[in-house]
Amino acid sequence: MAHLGPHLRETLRNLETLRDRHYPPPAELVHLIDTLYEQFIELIDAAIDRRTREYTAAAAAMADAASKTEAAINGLARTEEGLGKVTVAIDKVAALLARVAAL
Amino acid sequence: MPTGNRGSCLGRIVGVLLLAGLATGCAMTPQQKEQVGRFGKATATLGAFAADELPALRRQIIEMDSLTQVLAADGRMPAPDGERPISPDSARQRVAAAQALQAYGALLDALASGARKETLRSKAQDLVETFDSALHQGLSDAQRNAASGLIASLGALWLEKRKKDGVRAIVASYQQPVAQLGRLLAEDFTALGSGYLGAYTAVAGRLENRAKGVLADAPLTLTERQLVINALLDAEVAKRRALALEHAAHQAIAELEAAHAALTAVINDGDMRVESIRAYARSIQELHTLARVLTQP
Repeated sequence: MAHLGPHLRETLRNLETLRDRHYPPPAELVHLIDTLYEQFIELIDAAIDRRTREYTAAAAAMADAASKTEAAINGLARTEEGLGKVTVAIDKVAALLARVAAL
Repeated sequence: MPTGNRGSCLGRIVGVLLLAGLATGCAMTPQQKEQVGRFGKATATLGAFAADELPALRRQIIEMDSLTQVLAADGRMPAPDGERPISPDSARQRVAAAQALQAYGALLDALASGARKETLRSKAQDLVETFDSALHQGLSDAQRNAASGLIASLGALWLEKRKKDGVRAIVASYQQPVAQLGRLLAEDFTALGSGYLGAYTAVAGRLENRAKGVLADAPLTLTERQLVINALLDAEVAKRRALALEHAAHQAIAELEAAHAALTAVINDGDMRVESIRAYARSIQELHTLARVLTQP
């Protein structure tokens, strides 16, 4: 089973690498990194239940995002695909956080 | 836990400890001295680390959060919050963990010092109550009752063996929850973890990203540019510092764990001296100091 935390950190690291390859950094990248950090901080103190469907979906999506953003580092042509996966993962984490907030 | 059981068990635990406290210690072997020395060094490092670094860490989280707010161009950032990302509940959990470690160290210290009956009773009571409070699930019956089985067989209260049995029972029973609270501390000192240092790193990373975004975004006045560059430098220094802190803390915790394991092995082998118990107790109380610092404003 994928774990959200390590994949989220890996995705952040990959996005920061992509960001630092450009000057000025693409606004979309800065926005995605900002949002991911916000989610990271929210997750630190959240009572996350790893057995939930939302957690599984978020962890899988983030694993995919980590993998695709790493591919983008190695081949910039894949950047758009990688950022698309990050957007999907952000939505899944948002759903997870919403579930926690609703408890 | 049922209050009646707690009182009964406490009575038996206190009894064991009283018996143990009656005996006196012998000289330490060179091997024990080495183990205690390692233990003392490890805890001293942790204590100094905590005293110097962690209050600053907590302040910087709040400062970086405020700076990030200043750099927010679209106003969608939440207002800076001194408790974020560590909530009051999490802070209370760490206080409880700190108190439990303190109680454990204090009980062992009292035991090794041959403290009076009233002191031991009070410290044993603190031990059970603080661990019950610190652990989400509370103490198990087995942990609560670990020492009680010895009471029935106690005859010659002053015998060194009885003391060893009493201490052995306490250390064995509380090894797991102490390790659990130790893991909480270790997580707090992991730069990419979900504890304090993880929060520190994340807040620094967010500030760095925000500063880079602002620098690239629009023409800035000289003063504005200076502010953003300072924020960027703060974030980069914080990220490097987090890694250095993680390295130092984990080295110290690893030393402590190794020393703890060596001491436990000595206790389990039956080759135990009062000095070893006291050194161990002091070390555990140093851990308490470390945990307390995390929660200071």
